[in-house]
Amino acid sequence: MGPDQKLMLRNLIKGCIKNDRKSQRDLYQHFYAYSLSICLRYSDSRDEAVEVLNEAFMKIFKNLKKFDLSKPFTPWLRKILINSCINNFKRKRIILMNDVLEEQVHSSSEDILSHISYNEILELIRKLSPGYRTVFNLYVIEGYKHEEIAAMLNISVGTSKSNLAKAKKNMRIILKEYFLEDYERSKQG
Amino acid sequence: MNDQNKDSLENFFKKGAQNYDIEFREGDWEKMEALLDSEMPVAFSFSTFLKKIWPLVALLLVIPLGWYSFDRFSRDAIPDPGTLNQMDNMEASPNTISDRILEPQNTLDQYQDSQSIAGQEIVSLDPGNTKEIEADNSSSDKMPTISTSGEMHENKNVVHGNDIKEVIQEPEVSEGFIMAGSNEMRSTNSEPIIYKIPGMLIPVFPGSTVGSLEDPGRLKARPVIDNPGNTRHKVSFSLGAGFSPDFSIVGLGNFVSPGVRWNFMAETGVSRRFLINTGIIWVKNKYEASGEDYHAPPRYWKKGIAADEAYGECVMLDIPLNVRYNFLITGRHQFFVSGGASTYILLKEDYYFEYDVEDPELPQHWGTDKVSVYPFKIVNFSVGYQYQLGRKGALQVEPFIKIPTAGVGWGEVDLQTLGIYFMYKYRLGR
Repeated sequence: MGPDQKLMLRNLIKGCIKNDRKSQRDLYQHFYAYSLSICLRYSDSRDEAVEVLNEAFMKIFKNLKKFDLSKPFTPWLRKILINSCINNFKRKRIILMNDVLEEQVHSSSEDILSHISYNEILELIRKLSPGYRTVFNLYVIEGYKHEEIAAMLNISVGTSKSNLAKAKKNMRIILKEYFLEDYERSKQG
Repeated sequence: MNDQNKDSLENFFKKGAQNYDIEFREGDWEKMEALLDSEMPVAFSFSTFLKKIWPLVALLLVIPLGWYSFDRFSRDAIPDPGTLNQMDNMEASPNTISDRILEPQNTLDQYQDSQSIAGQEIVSLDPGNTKEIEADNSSSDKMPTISTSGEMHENKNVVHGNDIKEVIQEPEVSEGFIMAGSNEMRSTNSEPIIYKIPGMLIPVFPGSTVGSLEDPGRLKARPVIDNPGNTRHKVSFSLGAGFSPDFSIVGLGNFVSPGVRWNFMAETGVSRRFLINTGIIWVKNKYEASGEDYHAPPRYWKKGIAADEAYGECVMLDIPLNVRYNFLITGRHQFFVSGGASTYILLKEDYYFEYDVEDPELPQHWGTDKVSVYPFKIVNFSVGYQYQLGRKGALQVEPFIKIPTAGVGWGEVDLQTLGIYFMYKYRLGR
């Protein structure tokens, strides 16, 4: 981030602290794509992701006064976003306790293109059950360690490792099906 | 699965997750805004307030200016005195002049305020003015007698029947103009009549009376003035008192809470439209300034940490010197714009600081009672409306803005002030 962008961001944050709607909107818009890309990976749908995103931004706007302007903003934002995603996962965990992988795998009727796009990655991740998906996201994409994931999700380190292993195993099945379907489609075409 | 496969799976997803391409959706912000409105409602913002009220301010300016322009346009359509002279020899219908010069609903008193026809000073029946016109009832078979000598005649009933040289709109004497016997000039037509005598025009309106001998003082007129620039205006002098809320802000910040202004002013009218005013305004204001807008003396901040916010409370005197222009005068109503400069005399300053970091060693307050003067550093601008209560009293409402040309106070802040004066004025003398 260049000095101009830093200054702009600093001014936006100051405006947000004053509860200035324009500054809030500008900050929201500036980080919208980045933030939603995170929320989408943890959510079952776009609507749910936006709900989590807005919940996270509400926390951000409320707590911006505590933010140290001398530190980078994006990691702070990311942490709040992921925490919001995890909270959302925890809320849903009871409801989704009996989810099974197979139901998720076969529920998709989405067209699969011949190349992997961001949306397809997203769809593939969403085919994992919420528990596996969360650990998968945290470990593989966000780069957290099992100890950190265990602390965040209130599970043991062993469970975290086990969930990740199962997530990967399921992901391989999902990928195999995806490539098979893609192959069948290309043959028919 | 070997490590290579394991890494490739992770890399595949890690890289793929970075290549997002998501477009902003307005609807998502609207949901966010609704959340903000419910949990973090916006406090009163001065800049937002300004954005909201500017159409109203513009309307307040445009309506009187439009009215004024229309009024001027209507007057410009009236023939000049030369044209009026040409009309001397024509047999004008009663409606011709009245339609073009005078509105039938005008009264004589209103006409006293109407000095200008076609940009020329023609007639002013100003009670404070000089020349006196007298009617005479001793000659009943002649045209009305009007003396323009400027002298006061002890005997009001002097015959000067030949003094009237011209009658622009020649009336039927028996119907439109009654002189002898009734001691007055009167228009009994349904239309006003203008009489012209050397050096002046005299309007006589339907149903109105000019120059009743019982009230000779009413017949006073000003001579025709060829050059309006030579108009002599009686200088007026007024005193006034009023107050205003004080909305002081620094930059585009929000105001903290309104202060107050007590205004004692003196005003002199150099012409009917131009006035000069000054006075003394006692001010107590409150404002906040962000760290960038607050310029404390160098090396004041400890540990190099400047305040993130500064809250100021000041007591001061504002000495304005303004020129006022009445762009519209109609009956008891005056609309005006005013501009000038102010001198600020700060009597007391208090500042409270807030920081991004918590450190009890950082200064929290600075204050002084030392007087500091900022001569003519503030530009004033206002628009206003005045309502004449009687001959002397008037009420005035005047929204104003004050813009600094230099930093004010210990923090050298660009202190802008908005407010609206509510004032009572009293004209001294006659």
